Amino acid sequence: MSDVPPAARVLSDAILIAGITACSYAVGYAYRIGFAGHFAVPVDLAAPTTTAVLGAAAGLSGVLLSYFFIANMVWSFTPRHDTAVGRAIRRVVIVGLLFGLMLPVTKLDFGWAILGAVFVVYLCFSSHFPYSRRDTEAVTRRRWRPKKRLNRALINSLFFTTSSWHLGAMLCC
Amino acid sequence: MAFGRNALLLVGMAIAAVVLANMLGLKHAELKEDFYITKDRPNFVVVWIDGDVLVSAGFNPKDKRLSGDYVVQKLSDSKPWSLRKEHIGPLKAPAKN
Repeated sequence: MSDVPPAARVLSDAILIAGITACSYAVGYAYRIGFAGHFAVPVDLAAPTTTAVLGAAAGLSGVLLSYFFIANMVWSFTPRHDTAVGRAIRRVVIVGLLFGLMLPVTKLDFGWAILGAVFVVYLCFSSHFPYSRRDTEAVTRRRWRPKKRLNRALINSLFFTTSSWHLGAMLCC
Repeated sequence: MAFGRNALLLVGMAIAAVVLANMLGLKHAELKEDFYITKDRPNFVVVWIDGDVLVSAGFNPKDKRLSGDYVVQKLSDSKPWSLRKEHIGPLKAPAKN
């Protein structure tokens, strides 16, 4: 396995750190705009301060870290073998974890739109899509071969997603 | 599922975080019940204090609805602020004309 080149990193450390800083600033600003919007205070007055940015970064990272700590613990109990049952269990666990993260969001205005966007992202990165197969090829250096059963896999994926939506709607209602 | 450092996924997460923060800010404002009130303006609640600038929004105490007016005050040494915290209850957004 030594002849396999390492997977190329898309983002360097410097860009990642700069991106986190910019994201914290944007999150703090977005929070203040939302807060000011309710009181009809102009957005021009909602300039983010250092305190707001640090607070937003601390709050966001605290929530996400707590979630990923729990998700990692749940994920450690899922089976690792590459069988149909193992894959199905892993899929159910992923959907469950996503719902666990997103259920509080549905209480917000347009929360269901966010939930839909998350599922679109999940679909794009799930193994049923050709894009994801090419992505896997880039990481593992294995040749990608389009499968004849792709359409069937696509239908299965859409059916699975629709079922998940119904399940989520029932749980929330 | 290994997320790695896929640029598309990270940008998507950043956008989701910004949208989520905006919605959280709006929700926080809708649910906020305790407000600071200045002594000279009892029908104005303090929205935030930014350094030496205080931004407050007017409301109607009867129907607990915001009027849409706002005041920006700057702290001066000659006239100090006098604030008190009050439980007013959630304030409704100003009526759209």
